[in-house]
Amino acid sequence: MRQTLTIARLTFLLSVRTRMLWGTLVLAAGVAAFIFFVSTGDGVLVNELQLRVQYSYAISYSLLTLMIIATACFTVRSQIDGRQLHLLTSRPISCGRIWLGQWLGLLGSAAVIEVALILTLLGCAWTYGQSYTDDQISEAQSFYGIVKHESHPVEIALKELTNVRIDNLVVAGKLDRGKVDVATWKRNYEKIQRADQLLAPGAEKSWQFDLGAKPTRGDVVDLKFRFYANDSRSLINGIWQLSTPGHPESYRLEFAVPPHQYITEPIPLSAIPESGQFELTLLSQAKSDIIIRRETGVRIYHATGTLWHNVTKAFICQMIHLGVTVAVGLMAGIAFTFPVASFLAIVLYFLSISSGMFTDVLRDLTWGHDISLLERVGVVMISSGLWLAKGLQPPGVADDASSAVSISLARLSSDWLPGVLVYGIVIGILGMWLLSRKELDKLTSGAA
Amino acid sequence: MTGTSIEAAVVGENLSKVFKDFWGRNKVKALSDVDMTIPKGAIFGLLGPNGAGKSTLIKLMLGHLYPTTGRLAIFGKPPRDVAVKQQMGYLPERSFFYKHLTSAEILKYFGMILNLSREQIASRTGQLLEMVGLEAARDRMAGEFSHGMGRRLGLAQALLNDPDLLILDEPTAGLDPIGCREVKDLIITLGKRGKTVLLTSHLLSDVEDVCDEIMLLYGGQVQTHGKVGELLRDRNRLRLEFPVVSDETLESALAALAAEISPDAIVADSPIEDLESYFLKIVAQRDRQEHDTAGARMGRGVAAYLRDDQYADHSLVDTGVLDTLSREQPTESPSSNASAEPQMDAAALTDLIEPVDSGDDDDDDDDKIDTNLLDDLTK
Repeated sequence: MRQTLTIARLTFLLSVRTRMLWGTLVLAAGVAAFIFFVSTGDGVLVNELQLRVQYSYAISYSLLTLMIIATACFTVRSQIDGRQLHLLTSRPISCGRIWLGQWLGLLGSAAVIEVALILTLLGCAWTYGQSYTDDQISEAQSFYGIVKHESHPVEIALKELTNVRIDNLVVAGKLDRGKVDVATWKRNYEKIQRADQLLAPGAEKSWQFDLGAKPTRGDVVDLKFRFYANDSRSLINGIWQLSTPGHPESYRLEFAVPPHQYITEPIPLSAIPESGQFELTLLSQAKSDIIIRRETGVRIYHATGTLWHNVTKAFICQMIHLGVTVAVGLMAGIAFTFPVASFLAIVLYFLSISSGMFTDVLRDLTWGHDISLLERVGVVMISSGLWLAKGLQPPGVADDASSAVSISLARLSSDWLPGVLVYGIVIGILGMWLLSRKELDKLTSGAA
Repeated sequence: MTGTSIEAAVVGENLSKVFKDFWGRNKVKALSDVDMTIPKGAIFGLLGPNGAGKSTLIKLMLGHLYPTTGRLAIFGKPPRDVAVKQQMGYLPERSFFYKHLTSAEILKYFGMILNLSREQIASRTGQLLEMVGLEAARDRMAGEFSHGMGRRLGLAQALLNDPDLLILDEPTAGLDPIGCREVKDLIITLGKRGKTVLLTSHLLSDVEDVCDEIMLLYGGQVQTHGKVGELLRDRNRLRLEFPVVSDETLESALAALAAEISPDAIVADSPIEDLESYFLKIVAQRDRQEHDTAGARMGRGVAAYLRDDQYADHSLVDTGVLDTLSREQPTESPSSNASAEPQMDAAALTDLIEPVDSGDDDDDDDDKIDTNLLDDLTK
């Protein structure tokens, strides 16, 4: 361990002495500040901060990730080509420890830059807020001071409903079982989805929430909703109701709100049962159909911690991600020359951050019709790229952090963390293996 | 200087190394069926022209390359064994240090890699920097060093763990004459302590000065291998060296020799001081006067922990040969020194009496004349 820490300290010290650390730090912080101040919103402080923090955090973190990959590639490659690693491996230290020490040292540098980035964003937000009235500042402080946990309603399973509908159509003789292809299935799925999101005038719809337990912080929970309507100028009227059998307190709100906008209303905590499970019902009094989207239509927020809880969670998640990017950079730097290594690693990263788009492309390529050989090649290439880049995906914390929504470790642990950890471990082992098993002299650029 | 033990420090059997191109085709056969044994305690010279395979062989020993065929063992273990590297020290052909670290930091860093205690690191760093003449540059970045200073630091790094096997790739390349002499002194000192030293050098006189054994490679194959004295001795010639005698004595001796051999076969001249010794005298004197220099100073001899046990208690380092030299008066110039020597006829006999082979490893003391040779001469 002493040897590993020695290498880590040396790597960190060299990143300071070569000014690589300061250069990266200034660039990341500078880009964050620049984007923060050039972004513009609706002029309301809370909204402005939300938008500016989201943009600057997401973009500067992406830039930081790229720089960390390039730094890791450069660090190990320059030591191989400069033969410092040769001298090191002629000493009694295993290549695995050398790799681990370099990884720790670079991760330490990344941590310093990440802290600087977060402090820059906080500093920008504070500086920007000074030009607003005390009321707006107070509102922003109360908005960001407490972070809220976002609860989604228990959604109905659309896929299962689609299968049931198709079975019913087949039984009713309206559909031939042999003709149920992907396009038919998709058409029926979309019909059910539309029906699930549509609410006719005078109709009611309920959403079940499970908060786990009655929240203990604050006096209220926030109900956040957004409706869509064809007539974007008329207000939408309706009534929200929350009543739970056996629970004495209830909640009722008559509203008239504009469409297409997020509305937040407080629900007294007394209306929430001890179990945290309740049903929220909407009675539409709109003049026409309204659409309530499944993903973003209705949410409940309750206070769970402070801004610093969120900052800490964001930092930890991003450090895990940066750890993986450092491992990828080191592995690429060992296996390839610096230009090739940086190019490949950065392509992988871009592929990972745009995986959503490529997944859609993949779905479009494979759905609905027979695919040609060329399309099949494309599918294989995109699938392979997505698979290779899967573990490089950054944690989705910038949106939550900018919206003062508590970063859900449970969600990250199920959706993001396992893939990233497995990827990081595999890449790490591969990097160590390359350094240990390959002839070091042959890894050197221009070696015989 | 040859070790008394017959145990081997390095054993190579049937070693071959073939470099292949991208398509797996043989490109270069750097080593071919090399068999070698370096006994423990030997000072072993690896010689050969450029591209002969010397560096490849060293890289195999360090585990930077793997043999295509054959077996290589360092102290009975494979070269890639991490533990065996605790007993090894390596000075590469060029200095590959981190430019942004000071010389003291580099030694501290390698000391920690070697698992030395903090006290050992502090003590050895001081001694080594003093030994290689870099104590004044201990806080200077390695990137600011000249090539020679880098070599000195490299040597300090290689000696940090007091290695049992020291691999020196061109140890005197880029060093000034002081540095060359100090390195040679150091190698001899280490040899006396039973350490094994493997060195490569294109400066054959350096190799001849210090090595017990040499192996000559050419085209990746061993051309010759053996003890320096045996390989270089010319058994058909003799050389004698003695103080000035009268012309009569000399003439009678030459006449006696002429009775047996042709006068054309007798070579006689006066020995002249070699340039290295002359240079060292001048610099040593200036160094004793503490003449200012931003570069490397003359080293203060071999670090205490690298010397024999009898010196181990001493905190100061042995001032060595250079100190002795510095006390002598420098001569005006090599040529003036030569002109002060006796007449040509006296010098002729001097060379006749001294054996041509100066690398005779059986001689413990250079001042002694082999009695067998004298017996032969007087017959």
